[in-house]
Amino acid sequence: MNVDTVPRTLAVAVFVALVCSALVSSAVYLLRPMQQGYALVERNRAVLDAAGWLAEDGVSDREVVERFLDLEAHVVDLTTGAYVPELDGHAFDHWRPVATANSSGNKSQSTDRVPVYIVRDDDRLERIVLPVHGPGMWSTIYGYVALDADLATVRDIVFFQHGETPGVGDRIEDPDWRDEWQGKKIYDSDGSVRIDVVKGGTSEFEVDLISGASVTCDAVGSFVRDWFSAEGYRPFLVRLRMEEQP
Amino acid sequence: MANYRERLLRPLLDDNPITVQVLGLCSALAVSRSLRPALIMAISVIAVLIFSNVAVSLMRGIIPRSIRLILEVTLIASAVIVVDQVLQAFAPDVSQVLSVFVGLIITNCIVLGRVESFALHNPVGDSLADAIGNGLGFSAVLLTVAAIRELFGNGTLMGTTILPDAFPKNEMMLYAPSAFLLIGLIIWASRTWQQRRERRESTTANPVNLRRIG
Repeated sequence: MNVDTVPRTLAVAVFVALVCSALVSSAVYLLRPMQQGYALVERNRAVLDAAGWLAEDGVSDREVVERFLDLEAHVVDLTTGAYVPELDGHAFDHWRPVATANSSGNKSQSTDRVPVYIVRDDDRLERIVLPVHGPGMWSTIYGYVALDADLATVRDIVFFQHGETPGVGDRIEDPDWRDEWQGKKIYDSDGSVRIDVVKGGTSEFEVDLISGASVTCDAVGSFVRDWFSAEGYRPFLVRLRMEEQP
Repeated sequence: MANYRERLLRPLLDDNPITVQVLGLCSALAVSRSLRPALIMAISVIAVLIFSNVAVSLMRGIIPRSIRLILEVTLIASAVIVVDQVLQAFAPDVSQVLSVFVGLIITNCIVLGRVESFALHNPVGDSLADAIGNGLGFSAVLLTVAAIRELFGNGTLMGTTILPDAFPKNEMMLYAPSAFLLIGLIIWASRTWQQRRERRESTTANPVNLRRIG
């Protein structure tokens, strides 16, 4: 039997393409709920990590979710800096429209309602965890910045999701670089945003970049600056500082 | 039956895809740093090999010669995407460690090599045995290298500590070049052993040879 005629070649090609695409799309469709569930746990884990509630290794997924639900969470309206009481901070996902906008190529999607997490020691505010995101070298980088009780000093920075180059850009997750951020001041005494990622930077506003991963580090620095500007968390932080001051 | 046995066992040692055919080295170098990801990688490669070998073998009568490579790669790529999705759903932590290397199974020469040189010309049963055999042959070398690297680089196996803290850890084992050295040593050892065995077999089978040499 001659299988090399043009119609047969086309028929076999179409058949294989259809079968393979059905296979791939059903796998993606059926497995998505599990992948999303896992992504949610990972996100809770990142929040807890930034909140300092994940000191030990090997915390189980169930424990992560329980601890996360114990965190004080609010949704903040960034334009006014006020809480939005009708939204649940534990469930609110301000990144979903961002991710959808990114995949459909529409970059102008703005997020003005954002969940924030507050850690208290007795009644006193101990740290606050704020989500940040922005374009990296290849991908949108998502992470959390934890601030000290003064609401101006970085306590920690945790990256939750990104698609930076493995072995290069993904070193933003290294503990060394997280330590580099620790103790850096975001605002100066006038309240303007001063923090930045600078090569060889050592001052209290400057975070040194990772050599070899400078593009990713610069990108992180610039979106962190944006997030703490007057269009970002500044109105909220000002309000919170007034309220929390004894 | 003996035929299947042969197909299964030969790729383990005598015709091992890594030591003899020298295929699939890249992934063996990349994911052999510790045992658990290597194990998952081995299972993934076996799954992809089985799927693509069986699928191509089933279709060997209707695959047109002119587009056979494209069809083979399409089938392999689909299998790899499915495996990647399954890993992301059920073993997400390992999936993150393996990152791009799961996707790179597509370019693992063992898969295309077996499909092209075997499944395209042989019935389903033989192709299945061939896929399992070659998969296990690849896994054997990958897991050996991973075990050595994890044990001497980190003092652990599958994440549990084996060597006492006092035992000096060889940090070089954690870098890719050590996999190069180890695979080289394994290839050398297995080939030496094979040659010696062949020489012994040929002398016992044909003693005239020995007299001529000696």
